[in-house]
Amino acid sequence: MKERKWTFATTAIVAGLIALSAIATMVIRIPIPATTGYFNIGDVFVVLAGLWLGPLAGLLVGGIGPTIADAIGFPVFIPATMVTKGLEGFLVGLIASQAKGSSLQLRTIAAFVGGFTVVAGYFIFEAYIYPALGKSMPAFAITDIGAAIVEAFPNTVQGIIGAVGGLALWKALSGYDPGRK
Amino acid sequence: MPWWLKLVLLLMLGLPGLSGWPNTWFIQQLQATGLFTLELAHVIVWVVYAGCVWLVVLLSVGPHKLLAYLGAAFVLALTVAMLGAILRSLFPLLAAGLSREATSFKLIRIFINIIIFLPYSVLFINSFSAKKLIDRVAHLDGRYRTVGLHLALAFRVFQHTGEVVFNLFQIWIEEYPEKIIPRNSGGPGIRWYTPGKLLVWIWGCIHAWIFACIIHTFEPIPAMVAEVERIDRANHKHKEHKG
Repeated sequence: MKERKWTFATTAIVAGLIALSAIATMVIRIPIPATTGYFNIGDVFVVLAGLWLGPLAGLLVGGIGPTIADAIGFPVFIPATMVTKGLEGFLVGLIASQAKGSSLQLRTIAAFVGGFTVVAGYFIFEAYIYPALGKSMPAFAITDIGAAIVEAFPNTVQGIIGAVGGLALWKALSGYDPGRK
Repeated sequence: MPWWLKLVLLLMLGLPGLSGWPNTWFIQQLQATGLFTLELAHVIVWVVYAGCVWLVVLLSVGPHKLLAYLGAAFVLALTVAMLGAILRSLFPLLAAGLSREATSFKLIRIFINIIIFLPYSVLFINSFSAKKLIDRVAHLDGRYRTVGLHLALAFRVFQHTGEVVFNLFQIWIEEYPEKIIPRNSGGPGIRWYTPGKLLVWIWGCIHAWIFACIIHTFEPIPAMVAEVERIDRANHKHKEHKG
């Protein structure tokens, strides 16, 4: 694994990516009426953060950026988004950090593992966790397994767009590493 | 006003967004009168709350910035509501058995949430001075100073990105007036290929806007990082001299 030092430059870039992922999540929101969830392109920056800066950056960008966007309009999805997107960024960074040089193969696998994490994570939350929470907290009683199945398709498209977009942006930015020793 | 008082007041203002209270109580009271349905009571209470938030934003940042925030908020909210309505019509399966009225009410709630909490969020971020935070943190010692400088730098980048985004909305509106202001539109009018051209135009706008966002967000980062590193080095040297 490459040795990566966390510098002030890394902090600034991660903060920028958090803000951009929040904005990208908010700008193009296509609501899915079944679950009150929505389709968005914020995953592009989550995948980019994991590929470019490693698992910790991916975790922070995924866990914070889209969560900020959810707080504006869709607050009930904050727990699901924080966990799912945080895990997405972390796994992308973890797998990509094993790649040698500028090899694309492992990074492509990492990006699509991230996309799959989005689909699986939201399905688990909407099919099982939210209905269970909804029994004691009515605010979470917004989904069931049927709605979760319906939302799996747009989430799959979202995961693919995030993976492909994130890979494309990484290819453009990979020449600069703010934390390389 | 001390920063902690600002924080408390802002959190109190945003309480309905976090917990629903006291708006849910007002909605129940209106419903109990028998004059309003749940949906109507919800809309009335949240629109009144929106007015309160906008008044606070107006008093804090002035009319020009309030209009900029509201412009962005309404564009986003309308985009979400309209796309949701189109999707409901094109793909009824995505509604998973919900009635049209229930889906419409969900979209109205999302619309109202966005026009309230987008200006509120930007007000929250911009209410605190990143420079004062950096100056205060620079006087701390050891690990707290380093962590504090990192957090202060992140906060400064957030503030900068918020400024960039709203300016880019304004620039985009000025560059594409023909779609926004009908009197500026020219050309042959609606033809069979117009929806295709509209999709291509929308994709081009989104693409240009996102890349402009990336470039303008990252452009001043080297200067911000250099400033924080200078403060960090200056403090190290001061400690060495004292030692």
